[in-house]
Amino acid sequence: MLSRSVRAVTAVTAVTVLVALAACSSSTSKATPNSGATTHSSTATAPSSAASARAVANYLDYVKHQANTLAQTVAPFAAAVKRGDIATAKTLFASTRYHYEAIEPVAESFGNLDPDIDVREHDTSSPSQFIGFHRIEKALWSDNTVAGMGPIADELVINIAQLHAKIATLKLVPEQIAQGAMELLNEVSTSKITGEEDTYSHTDLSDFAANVEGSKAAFQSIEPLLAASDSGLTAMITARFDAVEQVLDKYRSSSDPIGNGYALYNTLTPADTRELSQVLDTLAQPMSKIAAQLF
Amino acid sequence: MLSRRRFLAGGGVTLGAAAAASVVGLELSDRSTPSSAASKGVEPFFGTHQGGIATAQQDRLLFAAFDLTSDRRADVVQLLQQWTAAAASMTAGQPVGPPDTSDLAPPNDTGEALGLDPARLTLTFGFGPGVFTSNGVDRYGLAHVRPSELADLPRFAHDQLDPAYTGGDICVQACSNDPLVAYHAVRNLTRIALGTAELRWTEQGFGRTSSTTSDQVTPRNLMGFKDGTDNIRSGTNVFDDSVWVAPHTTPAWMAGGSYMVVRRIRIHIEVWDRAALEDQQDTIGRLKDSGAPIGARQEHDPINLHAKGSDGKPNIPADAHVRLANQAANGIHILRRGYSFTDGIDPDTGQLDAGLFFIAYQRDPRKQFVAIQHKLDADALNEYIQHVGSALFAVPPGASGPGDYVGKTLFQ
Repeated sequence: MLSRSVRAVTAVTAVTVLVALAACSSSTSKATPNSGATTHSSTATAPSSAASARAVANYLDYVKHQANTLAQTVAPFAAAVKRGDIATAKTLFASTRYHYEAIEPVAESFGNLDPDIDVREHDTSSPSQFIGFHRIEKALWSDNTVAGMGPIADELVINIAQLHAKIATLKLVPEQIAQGAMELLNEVSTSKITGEEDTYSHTDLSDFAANVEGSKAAFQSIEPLLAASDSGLTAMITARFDAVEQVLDKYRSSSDPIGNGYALYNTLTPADTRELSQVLDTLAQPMSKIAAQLF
Repeated sequence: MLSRRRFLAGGGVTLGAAAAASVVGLELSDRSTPSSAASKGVEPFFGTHQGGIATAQQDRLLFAAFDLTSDRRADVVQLLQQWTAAAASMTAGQPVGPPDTSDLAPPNDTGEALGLDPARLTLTFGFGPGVFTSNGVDRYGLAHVRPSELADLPRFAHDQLDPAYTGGDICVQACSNDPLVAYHAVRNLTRIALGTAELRWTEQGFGRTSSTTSDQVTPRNLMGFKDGTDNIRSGTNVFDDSVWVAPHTTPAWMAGGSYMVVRRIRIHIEVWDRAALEDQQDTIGRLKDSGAPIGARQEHDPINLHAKGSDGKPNIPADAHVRLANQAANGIHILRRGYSFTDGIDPDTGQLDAGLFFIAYQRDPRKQFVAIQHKLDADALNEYIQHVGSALFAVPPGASGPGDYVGKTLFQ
């Protein structure tokens, strides 16, 4: 039964995970599981601290690799925007932001960095707030001019450099990685499936693939902590990642240079997007159970 | 089973009602007899037949058709076991289990029905043609036990079926007097099914358009007419012979089951509402106010198809709905268990998207629903309605108790 106190604890847990994640970024605090989480450890055997450390290190390697690549690829993208080379900028848009989408929950833990890099127009209340990737996307595909985009491009480079620097000192605990794996799939459900993420460029499938890749990397890093106690959950999740990837593979296409290897989202039928949504939900449901299996 | 049902039904009645019963000198045992008048309480889940068929019809429906997405028979068996357990809990007014053990996992029950009376919730499961053969493939090795009664429905004149409201491998009919309880049930069953089955389409019914027991009053449909006056009633021989599959039957797994026909029937509300009363009554063959057959006085007066008025014409026109659909005249009976539905407006026209969600139970759809529907080719009512959705399901017998599951007779 779901008592009020249980619900309250859940809410507190969610908040403290975020607070802990934010605190970790200061590089001075030592990451420890919050007390709300550790009180619910009765059903499973706690993994060894060495195994936990290995899992965290594996995932941090992935995050840092993506952040490095993002910092490198954003430079030529911004340069193309600044010199008015719309055609080149269009071909670099999806492939650059891929590395951001793969680690987006990490960025979301750093205050305003996520909106400054990735806010969508309808989430802003004034034109001055609309900056970052999607402002440039609108310039490239809708305005058909990059006039005035120089400062926006410069700011994007700076914000990504900040993200890169913060990630270099990031510390995590396994339940945060589990949460991140879940959040990446929720990103797909709430914004990619609807086609509203890349509403001008229609490169949503590249973002979709990046979210799934990032979720899988997070899941695989903590998988060794789950295997002992999860009664088939990891096998189910692994099989369902395969199923999602199989459906995504149907839309692999090199014919359009701006899709980053995927078909443009506005070429999909409602039946196509429904299939993508269902196969994604089918993966996300067991993923929602792994955090409880970690302790 | 009966005593448990009586006990639980009695438990659902408020103290206020009990006090009132005492004042007027009624025996409490009378009050505790399950009654269609009761809006609350628990309907039994386990039994020879599934609930939601002979059960006094509840006021609210959520119907859900699912597609099976797994080709593994073991997955379907596991789903039916999990659904049975969840349905037994929810119909008893309990949350879906097992009890939660960690705050770091989503709760096993979604929670919106906690604390609510189940309001006579029933959950009725059926198997569509796709369980036996799907796109020519015998996915679960069951093609040889597909009942001949589960023959695909023929195309009827005037059909304009929309794939968005047609078909399904498995269905769940959730009925309750509380719409939130019915919604909660389907939502949680959908959640349990993920990976093995996914929702194909749903429809929500907001008012019953039939009575299934003798003590229920006849409701009105969205045309404003009493509907289901001549419906067969549970507890009668004609009901048992028309609805339940006979004990010794082929295939044996359907003994005690029934066949369910679903039709989403759009009513052209605006057109109907500008038809003159006389036209409306001639279309149906009954008087709008009383529900009496034209030429008769009271709702339950017999329908005289031969009576003529002073002008020499039949009281009930040749193309009136009650003449063509008349169960006694046709010698064919089905149990109707339908609901009014509305899905807002048709975006193309701005007109109301509403109608009658027709559900019928019978022993053999070929000889019952299909035969009747063919007689309705010339129905005057066709001017005002359109069949836009359709589905057919074999509804297996009930689960006998904990440890059994709905569909075991088919899958074991």
